[in-house]
Amino acid sequence: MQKLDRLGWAAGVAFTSFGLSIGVRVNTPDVPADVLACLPPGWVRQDSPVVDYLLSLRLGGVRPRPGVREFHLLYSELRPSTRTTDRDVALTILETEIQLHIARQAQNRVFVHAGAVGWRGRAIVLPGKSHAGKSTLVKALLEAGATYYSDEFAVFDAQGNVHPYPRRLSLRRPGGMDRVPAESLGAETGKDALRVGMIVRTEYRPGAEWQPQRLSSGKTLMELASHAMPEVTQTAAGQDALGHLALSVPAYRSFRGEAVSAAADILRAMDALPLSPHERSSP
Amino acid sequence: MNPITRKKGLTIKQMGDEAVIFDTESGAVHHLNRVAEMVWRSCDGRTDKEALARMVERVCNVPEAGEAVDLALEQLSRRGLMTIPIERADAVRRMNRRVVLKGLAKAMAIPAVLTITAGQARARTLSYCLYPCPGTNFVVDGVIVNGFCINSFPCPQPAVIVVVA
Repeated sequence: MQKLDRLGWAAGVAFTSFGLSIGVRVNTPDVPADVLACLPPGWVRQDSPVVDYLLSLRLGGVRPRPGVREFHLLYSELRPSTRTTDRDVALTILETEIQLHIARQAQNRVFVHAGAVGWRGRAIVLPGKSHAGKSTLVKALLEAGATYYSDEFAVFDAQGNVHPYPRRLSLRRPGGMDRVPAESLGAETGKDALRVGMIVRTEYRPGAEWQPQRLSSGKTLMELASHAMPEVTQTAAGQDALGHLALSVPAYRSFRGEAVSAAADILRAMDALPLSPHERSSP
Repeated sequence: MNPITRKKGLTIKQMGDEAVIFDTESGAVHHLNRVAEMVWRSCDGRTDKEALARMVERVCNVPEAGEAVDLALEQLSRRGLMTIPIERADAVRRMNRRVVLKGLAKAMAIPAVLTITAGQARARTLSYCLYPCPGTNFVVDGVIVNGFCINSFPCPQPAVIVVVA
């Protein structure tokens, strides 16, 4: 750590998120706004500079001298994480490192790689690996009137309710990626935990039609476990939360065509699901 | 010697007539369908293969389930879920077994054990390319050769793969 400490860190931010104390230090006089934008939703600045997990981001020059390539360097604790000339790549990986640390270590919460939206008081959870089309489908659901919870991590409590993790949506475009707040799509962001109404495992296939097949509870648990952090599935709390979800929530699997028509199909399927006794008794 | 399942280091979630087993030693997660679960649950060291076969025959209503039991035991053993490893059948026997299993398929009497290893789960959650495949808005799994991604959408730009250890 001493060698790394000597690189000359000028500013930093220490914060808490999901019960974890995390720090990011940089070599610039202030923490740039685009670095702060990489912090997780709901982060709270902490007074103490002592943190449990430290990321060090050395930003290369904006205008490098001729013939000199100035790299952006990112370290996760002591481990070199990234060395790149592309600032966006460095920031994306910074955000990913923070998210993954939280997903592995969060207290009383289970993180599953999944999109999540709210629809008429219940949540739809869409497990899928990173950047496999979840955000595109979440965007289509938001445009159809759903409430935004997350495009990357569904955050569950022990009762299986999903909590908001409303980071900016990652929408790919040729040659790069746009980070878009849900508000700019005209969508509301969820504030309260929601009971999960349906789990949908879907992948894009050109020309595919929506033909959902009900998954057994065992296969649902496998889907959830395979998209959760391995560290989480090895804890009793993680296994219990996912097991409870798999037993209590209907799950479907289907290939999908274009996101807009798949979103309409999913919302129709959600409306057709009967309410649980608890939901029927709610006002 | 009668087959015995391993219990140490495993957490079992009973999901109806299926089971999901979390292996805390290897980090793997296994899904056992009805037949595999039945065989796994019954391997207590006192039950021989013939008794296991009779159990599957009774529950699945099939005439002959010996091969299904053998297959289940091999699958469970290969995944480290048995205390004593069970040898895999030779090629001739496996070929003959296929014919028998075809007959059991209709009765859903074929055992199946699906496994996600910790490495696979990690790869699913921790690695991806930062750029979309050409003509799409998402990334399709590909193989990286000399820094370029080779898949059904050949990508002209160098792959930028995030792999977080």
